[in-house]
Amino acid sequence: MCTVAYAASFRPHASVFDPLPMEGKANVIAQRLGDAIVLGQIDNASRLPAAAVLAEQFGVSVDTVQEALTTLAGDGLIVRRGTRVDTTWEAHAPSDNWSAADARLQRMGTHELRDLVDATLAIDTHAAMLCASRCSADEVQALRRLADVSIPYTSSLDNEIEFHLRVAILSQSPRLAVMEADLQRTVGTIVGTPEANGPWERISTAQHLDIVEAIAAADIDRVRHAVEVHIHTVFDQLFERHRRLRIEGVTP
Amino acid sequence: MAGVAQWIDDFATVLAGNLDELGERVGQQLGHPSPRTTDIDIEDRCRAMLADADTPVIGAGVVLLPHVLVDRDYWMDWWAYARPGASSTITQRTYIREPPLGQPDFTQSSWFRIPRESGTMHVTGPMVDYEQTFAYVLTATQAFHVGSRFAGVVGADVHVSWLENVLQPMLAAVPDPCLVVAANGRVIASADPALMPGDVLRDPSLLLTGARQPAGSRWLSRSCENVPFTVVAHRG
Repeated sequence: MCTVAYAASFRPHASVFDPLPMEGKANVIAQRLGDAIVLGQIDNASRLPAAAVLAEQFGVSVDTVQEALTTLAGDGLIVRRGTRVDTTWEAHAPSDNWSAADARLQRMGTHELRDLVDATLAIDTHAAMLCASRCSADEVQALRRLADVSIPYTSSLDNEIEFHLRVAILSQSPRLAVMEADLQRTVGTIVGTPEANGPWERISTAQHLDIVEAIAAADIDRVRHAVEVHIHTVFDQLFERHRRLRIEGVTP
Repeated sequence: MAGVAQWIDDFATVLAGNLDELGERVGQQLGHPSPRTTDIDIEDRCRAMLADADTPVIGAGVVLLPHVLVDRDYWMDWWAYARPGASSTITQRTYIREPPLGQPDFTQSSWFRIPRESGTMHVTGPMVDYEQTFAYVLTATQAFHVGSRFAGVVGADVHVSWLENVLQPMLAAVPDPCLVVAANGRVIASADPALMPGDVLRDPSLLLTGARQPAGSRWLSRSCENVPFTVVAHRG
């Protein structure tokens, strides 16, 4: 009786009392390993520890690890190597993995992509504005060095991720930094080849530099504008590619 | 203000002593012709540092200069609480993040470069520790040597919120609004509601002490001896 009354008072949030998801731990593991692969903490093409070793490390069953590995394989972030008897998994970074990025982008609904723009704009603009008011001169200089590079295409995704993470770090907000890492993980797995993304790669460096100079000038309005321009440029390319993939399908 | 600076200096002295001991130990363990990752045995020492209630650190260990070891080019042996706020699970981390192509590696970072050049303990931060836990930390690092050759840094992470907890009552006891700032002007702890940890003081003259303050300045400041921190108070 008491339980019912208590639950009733929470009616709008009744899902609070839903059974806990059974796949929770596998998801956490998939998320953590996936983040590490996208963010470059696990080198591309390096071999993951055996499932039994991972299970011991994470303190879960081998089945749970297998479930996580299946999710990661489905996302194209790891690939199977070796024989049926002696299976190993290899990290497969998105920057080396364009067709998987196309497949993931195609699976995404337009509203999901729009949702990602909304969140990225909220987090990136605010992080950069805080960065402008809290960065020391040394930190601005380091950020400028990071932005001011002419980089070969293969590493440009890494550089894009690193730049946005660094700005979030410099906001001095651990929460924003964690949110940024989460966003970059999602964006990182759907960004395709430089060719597919058209002019984005070429103008990205210039836009990063615009953001840095606005931060250096501690001009908050300019910072907001520079970040918005950059995010829209990145996502306009993604929307256009998304549209093409939906019409033409993924090329194998 | 003198009391605050004194407490920070005492804290820094204990921390530097711990790092001396850690550095000496690693230096000895690697002091032979073909040092390997397995020679480094600092777990008990780091766990003791993490457990010490007087100088609580949330991570401690060693980061090696590249190519010092024969079996790995890049290596660190770092012991840290699994998450900020966690108090039981301590994990070992050995991974060093490589920079994107064309970017300087960690040997150019201030936590590695400055103690290497100065030979004394350096404190970096406050900063978000994104290599590890996303905690808000100050990182103290000190050079260590194998024989007479520089071989890397030993270090410890201090949680900013712990330091703030300790400092706040002392700051509140100072009659004028008082704060502690790092060398780059970033606030570590503050009794002034207008300035919070993470904010940066833009006026560099505030970090000048005593007689070097411009005439008529409304700010009082006092430097710590053992770390590049300054205690600053706003007069009247």
